[in-house]
Amino acid sequence: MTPLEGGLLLGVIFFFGGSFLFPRGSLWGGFTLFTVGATLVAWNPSNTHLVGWTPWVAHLGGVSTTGGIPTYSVAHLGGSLMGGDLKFLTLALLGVAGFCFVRRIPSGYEPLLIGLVSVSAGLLTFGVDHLVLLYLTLELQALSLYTLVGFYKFDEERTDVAIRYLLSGSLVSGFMLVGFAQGYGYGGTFLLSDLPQLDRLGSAWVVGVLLFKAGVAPFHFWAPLVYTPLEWGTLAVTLGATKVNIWYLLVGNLSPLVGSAWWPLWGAALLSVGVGSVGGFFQTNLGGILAYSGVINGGYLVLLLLGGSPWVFGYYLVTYFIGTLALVGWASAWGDPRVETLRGWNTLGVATPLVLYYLALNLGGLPVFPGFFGKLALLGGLAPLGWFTLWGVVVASLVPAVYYVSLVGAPLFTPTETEVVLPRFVSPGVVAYLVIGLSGLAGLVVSVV
Amino acid sequence: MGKQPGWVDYFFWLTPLVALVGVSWVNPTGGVQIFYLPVGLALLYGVVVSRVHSTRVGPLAWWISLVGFLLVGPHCWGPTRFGWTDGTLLADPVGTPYVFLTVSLLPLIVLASLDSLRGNPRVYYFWVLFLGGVLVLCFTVTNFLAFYTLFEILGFPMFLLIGQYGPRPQRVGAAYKFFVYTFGGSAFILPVLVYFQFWLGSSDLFFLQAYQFTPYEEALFVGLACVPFGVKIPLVPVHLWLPEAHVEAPTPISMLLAGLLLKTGGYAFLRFLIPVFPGGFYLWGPLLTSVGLFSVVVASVYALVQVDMKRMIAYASVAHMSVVFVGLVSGVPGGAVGATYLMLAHGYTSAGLFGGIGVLYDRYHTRTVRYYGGLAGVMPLGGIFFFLLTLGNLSFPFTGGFTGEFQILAALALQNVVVCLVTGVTVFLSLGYSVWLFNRLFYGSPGWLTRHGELTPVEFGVLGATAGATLGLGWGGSSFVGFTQVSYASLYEGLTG
Repeated sequence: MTPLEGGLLLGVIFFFGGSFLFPRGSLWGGFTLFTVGATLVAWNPSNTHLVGWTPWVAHLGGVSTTGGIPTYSVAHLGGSLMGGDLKFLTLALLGVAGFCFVRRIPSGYEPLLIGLVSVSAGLLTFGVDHLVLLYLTLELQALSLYTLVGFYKFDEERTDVAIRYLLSGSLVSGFMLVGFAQGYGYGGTFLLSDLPQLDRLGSAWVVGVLLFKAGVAPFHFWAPLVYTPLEWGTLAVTLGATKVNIWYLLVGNLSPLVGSAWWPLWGAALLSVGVGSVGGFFQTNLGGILAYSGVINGGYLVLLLLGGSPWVFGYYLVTYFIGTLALVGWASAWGDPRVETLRGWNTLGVATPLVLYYLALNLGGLPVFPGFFGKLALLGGLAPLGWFTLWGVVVASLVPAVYYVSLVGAPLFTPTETEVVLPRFVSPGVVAYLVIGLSGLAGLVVSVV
Repeated sequence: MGKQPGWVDYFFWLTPLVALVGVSWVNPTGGVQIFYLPVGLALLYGVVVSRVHSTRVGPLAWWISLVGFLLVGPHCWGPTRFGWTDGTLLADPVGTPYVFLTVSLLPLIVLASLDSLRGNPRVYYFWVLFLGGVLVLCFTVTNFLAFYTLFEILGFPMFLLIGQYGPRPQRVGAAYKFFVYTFGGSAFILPVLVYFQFWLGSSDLFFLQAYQFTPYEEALFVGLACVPFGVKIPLVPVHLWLPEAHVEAPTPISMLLAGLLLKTGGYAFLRFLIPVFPGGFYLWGPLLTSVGLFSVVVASVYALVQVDMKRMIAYASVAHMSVVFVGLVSGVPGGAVGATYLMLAHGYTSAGLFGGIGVLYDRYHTRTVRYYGGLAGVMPLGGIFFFLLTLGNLSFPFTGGFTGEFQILAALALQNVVVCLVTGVTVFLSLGYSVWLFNRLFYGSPGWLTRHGELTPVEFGVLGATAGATLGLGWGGSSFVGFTQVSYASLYEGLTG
């Protein structure tokens, strides 16, 4: 048994064992332990392809390697990006989602399991080298997300947005199929590694779908709608762990398509930076704010895809996702994601509101938090694109910083009439996990690159 | 004993301590480490204060800031101590006057907080001491990007201190305004620093000074860099955050803001912008001087019509700092020497005036001038100190303000008599609002104001020290010019030579 198999087995035992022994109350504990175990295994340098150990998947011809010596996916601009790092990131984000489920555990085990299926399907895409398998894994991930979003059948708003999400997602899946079919038609092969260069339209079909899944403008319309009614746990799964693989595809396996789809990517990037910087101002819910934060940061990532180096792309990806999920994780202690209800944190002592302040500033990319170095790296990476791009990005990045800070204004400064009690899990350990984890991971990435 | 510290407390306080140790480890060279002292003391304070009762927190913070002053202060005084560098931090005649101002004002700010603080004292004193430490680093660092980072860091504790500790509900809006102006301004310089760091390879002061920028680059960079530091000085029309922040902040935080934080804007011009981009300043000089003159006149007139004491002193600060700005962009070393001197004098004088207003607000809970009168009979000693500080504010001879403004006006007269005369308008206008304010507060019938008496020992310490410094600086101009002459001449070498 390899360490990977052992870790996963241990995680499964913890997850189900804990859940059965301590019904409901320990669901999140099992969930978290599972992800922690899997995360530790994923960090093992000898494991770069999580699915490499599954012979039946390899048999389908879709796995590019079977593990062993660390291998790197060569990005189209040269340099390298370690797929294993992003798998680690995915699992770490899933761990944070585990914390978020504490506040409101959906009935039964199903939402947690659906979340795991979604993330597992995403992890499969890291190692897939087969168009059909890639399509199927992406669809499996998307279907899980549609189900997760609409899980509360008596919640009219969630059901409504889940149907919209499903319909628009199904439509764009068709577009991706068109792109893949064109690739097969040109090359006569399903293997990504042998795929010929697609023309602009063919690349645009595929890249556009990935941008849709990542929530980048102009395909972002679903994101604020879907994120707003979600409870913390589902929000964390939808916003974090299931997005990393989409970005990895753009810089990794599907990177050859990016080169020929540069024109829609440029448009999408600039539009995202503009839309994302303004849109957040009109949101009254943390989910909506983070959706627009995803739009603007998606714009930055696409710009890095076009003009930056892969390591800057990876670093910015890590700081963005960890910053976002740390904020979601910490804010989930409150219960209600509506901004108007986020008041009175200052009655909880010294550290609690300060951590929220720290996390908001970090997401805003302000000195001297990891997000600031992420922004510096971003600007450094975008420097070759010229002064005006650099300027636009700096100006656009300031606007979200203002609404992030306005987000923490109510918790920090406004007293509340209602009694404020934090759930038991808000402990020094969680503070340490979020703060040290956030800073440490960002620092680790810096030291690695 | 109060509540026992928990796991969170230790974690919260110890994390920055570990960071400090890390910084020291990265930069292990000798004597310059003393400039980390205020930060270290703040962190030590954090650890120690977790063990003591909350009512002892203020005195403890005062002792720590005082020890910091006694240790760091002597290193800033006397030319023999200047001029050594280890490549990261620089202690020279340009920066160390500001370091001295920081470490000498910090104990007074803590002292002023002792009787007037509302809210959690532990967090409050920690942030105040932390700000002092960051300011010391800010005034000694030679890397432009590091300076910018420290400059930005100053905003976060200020945002909290204004928003959480201000006496009125409007404090939240004032904190936001402060945040939006200061961070909005920073957007203009960040791309420039990124250009230095990622295209040129370094943002170190000496590297940039040696680098041959094209005239277009110099013009562009000066134009962009003037915005964030102009906001911090502040210049009209980007000054609107300052009166709000002063009015809504607690009194000691107003002292900190006027006495120390505004100086970072002027210092940035002196340390980084003018030596690195002399050509850009040559080009922008007329426009910047015009903006400065506009700011001087408008702010002085605004100060004349205020009914809130704090707002009046806030506008007076804008006017004085605008004079500083005109001196800085005058293009001659004498203007810069005067600007530094005026910043030092203004640091003590405005801090003292805000402290005096805080004394009145703590007693009578209003800052509106029309409710006051006859205080000379109620608190004669307070009246004397307030009078001395008022003299400093209107730049009366033998106060620090006079020495600084005289040097600036003399330098301006060498360049352009009209500019000198317009700048000199501030002397007359400040005479008007300062004397009017003192007259309304301390003369006439005391009426209902007799319910409170003379200054407390703590208030005596704060007002006495600032009034003493205001007077003392009025006698030290020539020696200051003597030991800073060479340094300031070299700063302006590109412009004059």
